[in-house]
Amino acid sequence: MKTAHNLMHDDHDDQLAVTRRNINIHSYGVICTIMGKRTTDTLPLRLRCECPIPNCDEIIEIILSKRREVRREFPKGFIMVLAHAKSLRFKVLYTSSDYGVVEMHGFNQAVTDL
Amino acid sequence: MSKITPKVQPTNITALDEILNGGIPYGSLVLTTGPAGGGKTTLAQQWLFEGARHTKEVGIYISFTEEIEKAIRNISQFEFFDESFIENGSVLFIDGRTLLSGMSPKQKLTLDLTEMDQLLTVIMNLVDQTQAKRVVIDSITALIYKLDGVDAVRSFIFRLGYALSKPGTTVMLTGEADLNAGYQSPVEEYISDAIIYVDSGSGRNQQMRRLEIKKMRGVHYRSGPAYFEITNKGITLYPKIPTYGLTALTDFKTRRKTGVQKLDEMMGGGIPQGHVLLVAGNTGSGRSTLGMHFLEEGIKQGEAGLFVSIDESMTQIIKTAKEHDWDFDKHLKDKMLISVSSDLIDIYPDKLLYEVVRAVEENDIKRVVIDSISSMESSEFARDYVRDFMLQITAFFKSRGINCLATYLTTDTFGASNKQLIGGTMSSELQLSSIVDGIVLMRYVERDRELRKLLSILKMRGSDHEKRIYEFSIGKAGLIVGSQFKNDL
Repeated sequence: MKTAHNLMHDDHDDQLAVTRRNINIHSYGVICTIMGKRTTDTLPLRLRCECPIPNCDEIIEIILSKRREVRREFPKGFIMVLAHAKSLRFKVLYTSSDYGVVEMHGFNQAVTDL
Repeated sequence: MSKITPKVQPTNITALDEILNGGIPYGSLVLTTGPAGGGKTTLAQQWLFEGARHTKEVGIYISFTEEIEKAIRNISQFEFFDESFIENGSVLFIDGRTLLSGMSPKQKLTLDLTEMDQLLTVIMNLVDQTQAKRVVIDSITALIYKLDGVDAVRSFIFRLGYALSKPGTTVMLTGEADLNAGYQSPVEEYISDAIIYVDSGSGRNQQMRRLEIKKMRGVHYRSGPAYFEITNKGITLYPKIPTYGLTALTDFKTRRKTGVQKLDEMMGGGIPQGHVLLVAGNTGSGRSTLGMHFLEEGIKQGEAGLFVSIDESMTQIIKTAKEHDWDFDKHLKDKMLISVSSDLIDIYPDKLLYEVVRAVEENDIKRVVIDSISSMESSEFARDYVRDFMLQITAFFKSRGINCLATYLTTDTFGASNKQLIGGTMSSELQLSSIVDGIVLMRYVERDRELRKLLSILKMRGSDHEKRIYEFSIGKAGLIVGSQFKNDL
């Protein structure tokens, strides 16, 4: 059985990571559009793990203000559960207790919130 | 090992919580299903507004079937609708199609896995940021048509339920299904924690709507269909009365007088407390008058009464009572007499039942007259429904020590054929004879080229009673029982 710990680089679908990041960015945009000023910085958002591992269903819980800060500080980064961030051969830019931000080779384009 | 009882979320919809024994367990995935026009959307929207009103729970309504402006316009007619809830974000109305980026909503026919993922993430984040405890997706059927295959449907619903159950958010999915059209359970039924089925049939004057809980994990709900109406108040349910576990407060020592002295004597001093009597008789024989007599006597004794009028309007009843110097108008104003009426064309027996129970509970009623049971049979409903009605109402009255006279029109106008006064007169009402405690029979007989009225007691459960047949008449003072009938033919 393939896990994050024994996955080789070839098993990854790097484009999947980009798609997952787009989903999270899109979701954030929709929330801001619908809720306007009613968003609450201290309330959480749940993000799709932005790793490139197929069939990953991991969810990362992060408060809104922290999510905004991480995205601003690491515009090229992918937010992944800590285990995935550490197990893959990517450059880890930042870690918290349960997630990490990594830079994936070949995906250096900075992204911003919608 | 101690039992783990799930915390339930009241729906705050009249009587639905009664059927659900409190409400829906938090975090449930509820499928509200039924044919088009059954009331699914109204139920779901009312659930959201009542949650915002009563428990301050934020609700989200995501529509995949109609424009939001139209949806709001449609529900603005209901009393449960409150625009301020939309303005202050207590209830969010969202066009589901706008949750998906890069698509022209009306052109997009199918959803791929990424878009499905996107939709789930947005819904999840909406719940996160609003702290919503109630989410409606209307309809899952519309969404399923866009998903590719059963596995995609299963995956979507499962992940949706899983993601929202964590924060204790209850999700209601509406879905189309018609049990009458050979409907087979689709995949969403297996995945859901709960299934509420609503449908409607055509009455003569109105839609006859039913709701049934088919499944509700973690809750001991009442099974069987419950009738409901959609009025300007929204959905009003009329649940059945549980007949099991009720203790009868029958007391043979305490007798309630009918006000007809001889009749009371025939019954051994009056009607035993808690007894339900069927007053069966030919047309015009005086069944209603006996009922009025019984209520008037109760009011004299300080006991409040309830008149359930199905045959006639209460205005007509008041006028008839006035002819006997019984001031029912005053009794109504004094709240010593309460009236409940029903539309004779499309009777909802359960609605009638609900209104009777409510009237009894709110007014400390001791005596009830139902006039008449036979009229209920002649309406849209089959006799089985009437029998159910009588079973429930009888159990309820007994549990409260209430006495009830239920009138019944017998079909045989003249019962004295072949010198037999009993034979052939009790066919229809015999279906009810095992339910009621006593039967008073009022008939005509033709003698000496005139009609005479006869009164007899066929049954009085647990109590001795007069077996002889008496003649009676109706005059200004009401019903007067005369001498024993002599069959001199």
